[in-house]
Amino acid sequence: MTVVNPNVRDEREQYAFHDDITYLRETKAGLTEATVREISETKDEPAWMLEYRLRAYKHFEARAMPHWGGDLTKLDFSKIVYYRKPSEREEKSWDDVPDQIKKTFERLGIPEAERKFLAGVGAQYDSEVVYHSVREDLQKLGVVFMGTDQGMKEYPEIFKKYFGTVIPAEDNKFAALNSAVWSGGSFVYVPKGVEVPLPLQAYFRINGQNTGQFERTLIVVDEGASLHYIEGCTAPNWATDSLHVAVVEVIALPGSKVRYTTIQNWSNDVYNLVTKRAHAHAGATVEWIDANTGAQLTMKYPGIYLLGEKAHAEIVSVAVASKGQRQDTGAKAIHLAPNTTSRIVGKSVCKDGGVATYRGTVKVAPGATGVTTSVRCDALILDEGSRSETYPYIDIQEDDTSMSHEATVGRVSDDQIFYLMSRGMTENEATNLIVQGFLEVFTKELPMEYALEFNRLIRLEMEGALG
Amino acid sequence: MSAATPARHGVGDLPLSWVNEEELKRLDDALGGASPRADALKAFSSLPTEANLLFTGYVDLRAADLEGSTLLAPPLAISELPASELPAGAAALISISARGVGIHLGAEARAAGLTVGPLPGGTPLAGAESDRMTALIGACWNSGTEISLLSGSITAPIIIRIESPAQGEALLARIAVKLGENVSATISEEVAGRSADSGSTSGTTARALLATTSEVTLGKGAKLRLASIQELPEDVVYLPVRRHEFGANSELQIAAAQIGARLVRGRIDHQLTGNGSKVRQVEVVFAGADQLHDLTTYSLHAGEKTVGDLLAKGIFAGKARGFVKGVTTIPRSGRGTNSYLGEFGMLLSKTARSVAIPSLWIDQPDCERAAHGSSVGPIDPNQIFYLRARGLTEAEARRTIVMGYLEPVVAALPLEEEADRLREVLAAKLDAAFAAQLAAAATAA
Repeated sequence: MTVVNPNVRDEREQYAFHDDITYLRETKAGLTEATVREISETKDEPAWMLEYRLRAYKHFEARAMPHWGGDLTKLDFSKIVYYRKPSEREEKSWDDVPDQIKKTFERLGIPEAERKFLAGVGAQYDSEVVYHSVREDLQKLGVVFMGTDQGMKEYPEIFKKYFGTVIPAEDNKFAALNSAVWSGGSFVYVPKGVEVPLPLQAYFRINGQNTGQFERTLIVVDEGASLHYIEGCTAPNWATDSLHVAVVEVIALPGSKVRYTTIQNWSNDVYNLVTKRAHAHAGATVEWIDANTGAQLTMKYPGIYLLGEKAHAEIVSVAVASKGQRQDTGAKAIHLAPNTTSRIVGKSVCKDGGVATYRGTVKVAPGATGVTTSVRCDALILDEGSRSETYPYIDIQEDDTSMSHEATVGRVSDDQIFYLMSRGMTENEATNLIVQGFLEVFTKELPMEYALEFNRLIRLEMEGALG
Repeated sequence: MSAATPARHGVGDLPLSWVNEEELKRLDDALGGASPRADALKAFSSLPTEANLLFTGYVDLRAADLEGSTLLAPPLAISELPASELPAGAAALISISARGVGIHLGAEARAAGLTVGPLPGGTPLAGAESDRMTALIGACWNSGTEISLLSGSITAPIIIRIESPAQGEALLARIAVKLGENVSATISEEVAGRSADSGSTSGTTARALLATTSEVTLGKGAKLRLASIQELPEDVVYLPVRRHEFGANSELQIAAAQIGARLVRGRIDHQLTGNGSKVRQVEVVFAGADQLHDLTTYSLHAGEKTVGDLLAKGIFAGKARGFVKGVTTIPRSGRGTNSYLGEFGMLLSKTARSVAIPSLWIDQPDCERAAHGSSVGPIDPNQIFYLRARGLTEAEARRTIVMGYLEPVVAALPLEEEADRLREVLAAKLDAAFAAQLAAAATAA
C-alpha cells in the first residue's frame, strides 16, 4: 500500500501550476539564423555579441548530438520556442514586477526568502530576468548582482573580459546552443576583498509550454573576496518537452572563495542540459554543491579548472532518479597547477525505473605536481528495474600525484529498515530517513532553510517509493 | 611509402593490407570456417576500434606500424615435441609459433585424458560481432588449437608457450580450452619472442603482430588456475583477447603480467552466467620507455551469487602510458553478486601517464557487494624513510617498496619457479627504470 505523508502531500502542487500569460514578445518555434538575429536585435546588443551568437549558432548546427548520456532522440529543436519575453524590463523593486509574475514567485516563496536570509535575489521567468535586487550595504561595497543582459550593458569591461572564457561557444553542442540564444541569467561581480555574508539567490522558472530557457550566468569574484550563490529552478508539468540549456561560468580570482549551490527541481518533462565550469586561480576555492531531483533528463557535470597554485576544488553532486528520469550527473576536476587539491563526492538514489549515472573526470596535467585528489561516489538502488551507472575517468600525468577513488553501489538493507520499523516508523518513513541520511553529505552543506526544503523534496520523491 | 619510414596513421587505424576476402578464402581453404570468418570480417570493417562508448571514443593505435606485414601460413599439422622440452614439474607443453603447433603430453596429462588438437574451422569466436580486435582474430586467425580435459584433473601445470613471429609477420592464434564438470587444471602461459634484429628476413619495417585468444569454457564445478607472463620484445604489437564462460559453481583464478611489447591492446571478458561461479583476477602491468598498454576487463554477473574479485596494478616509467579500464555489469538476473574491481597505478617518471576507468553498471539492487576502488600515487616517502632508517640504500628502499606493491600478483602464479623468474624480470626492469630516471634527473640538472 502506498503511504502518503499528509505533511508533504500538497507541496508538489506548489511548483506544478502554470500561468496563462501574454508574452510581450516571443520568437516563432524553431531555430534559424533569423531567430538568433531577432533575439540579439530585441535586446539591442553590441555587434560583437551578435557575431558571437552567430558563430555559436554555426557551431551548434555543425556539431553532432552527443552519442552518450541520456536519450536525446526525442528532443525536437524545431518545436522549441527560443525566446519569450514576459515583462518590459528588469525591476529592482518587488512592487514593480508585473502582477501575474509576482504572484508566481510569491507562491514559490521568493520575496519572503529574500527578506529572511538572502543578501540579494534574482528571478527569471522564461527568457528574461524580471527582478533583481541586492542589499544596499553590499551595493555600496561594489557588489554587482543583476541580469546578465544588463551586466553586459552596464559593466562592459568586466563582462567582455570574462564572458565565454571559461566555456567557449565551441565547448559542446549545448554550450553552442546557449551561446547562440542565451537570455537572462545572473551577472555577479564581487570586488577585491569583499565578503558577501549571506547567499545571493537566483530563481529560474519556466512557465510556457515548449519553452527553452537559456540563461547565461557569469560570476567574477575578485581577489580575496567570497560569495555564496544559490539557484533554484521549477517548471509546471506540461507533458510536452521543455528545454533548459544553461551555461554558468565562474571565475574565482586569486585567494577568493566561491560556493555555488543548485537545487534543481524541474518538472519531469524538462531536458536539463547544463554546462557549468569554474576557473580557480591561485589559492582560490571553488565549491559546486549540486542537487538534481527533477527533469526527465539531466546531463550536468560541474567542472573546476585549477589554474593557480594551491587552488582547491570541492564538488558535491547528488541526484535522485525516479520514474521516467535519467540523472546523468557528475563532476570534473582538472588540475593544471602545482599543489592543487580536489575532493569530489557523488551520491545518487534511483527508484521506480529511474537511471542515475555518475560520470566524472579527474585529470592531472603535466606540470601539476603535488596534487592531492579524492573521489567518492556511492549509489543506492531502491528497487529492481532501476539502474545505477558509474563511469569515472582518471587521467594522471604527474608522478607525485596522490589520487584515490572509491565507489559502491548498494541497496537499503533489510536490517536498517527492520531496526527503524521496530521503533515505530512505517516502512516508507524508514526508507525516507535512510535516504535522507545517505544524502546528508549534501544537505549539511546547505543553509538551514534550504536543507529543510531539500529534505521536503526528497520526501516528495520518496512518496510511494514503497507500495 | 618508403619502407624505411612507416606512414603515420590515425589513432584508431590498423593498417592491415591482408584483411580482405582473398586472404580469407586462403585461410578457409587451409583451416576452414568460411562463414564465421566472413561475419567477423564484416564486423571488423564496420565496428569502431573502441565500440564501448561508456568511457572514451578513442584508442591510441598509432604505434601499430603494421603496414606491409604478412599474414603467416604456419604448418597445419600438430607436431610432437621431444620429452626433453617438457619443463620440470609440468604436465604438458604446448608450443605455438610461426613454425606451427608442437606438443608434448606428460604421463599425468595422458592419464587424465588431456587432448590437444586443431581447432575445428567452423568454431565461431564469441564476441567477434561486437569488438573490432576480436573480429580481426575471428576473421584472420591462422593458427587454432583446442585443449580439452573433460574428466579427471591435472595438478601439474600445462605450459602454453606462445612465441611472437618475426618482424613484419602476423600470427593470429586461437586457443580454446574446455574443462568438463568438476575438472581442475592449471595453465601457465608464457608469451615471449624474438626481437626485431634477431632474424627478420622480410625486409620490412612493419612490426611483428601477435594476436591471441584464450577461449575458456568451464563446466559445472570446474576449477582453472591460469597464469600468464607476457615478456615480448618491446617492438611487438600484441592483441590478446580472453573470454571465459563459467558453468555453475566453476572457478577461475587468473594472474597475468604484462611486461613487454610496444603496444598491447587487451580485452578480457568474464561471462559469469553459471550460478555461484567465481573469478579472481590479479593483473600487473609494468611499462617503460614508449610502451602503451590499453587493457579492459568486462565482467558480466548474469548468474546468481557470482563473485568477481579483480585487481589490477600498474607501474609506468619513462614515457609509458597505461589505460586500465573495467566494466562490471550486474543485470537483473545477478542477485547476490559480490563484485570488486580495483585499479591501482604508480608513476615512476614525470612523462608517464596512467588512466584508470573503473565503471559499474548495476541493474540489481540485491548485491552483496558492488564496488570499485582506484588510486594513483608515488612511492610513499615515509616508507622510504622507514626502510632507510633500517639500513637500506635509497635505491634498495624504492625497489623493495615497488616489489612489495606488485607481490600480490606475483605470489598468485601457480609455479614457484615462475614467480621467482617474474620477480627477477620485474626487478631488472625496475632497476632500468630507476637508472633512466636518475639519468633524466642528471640531464635536467
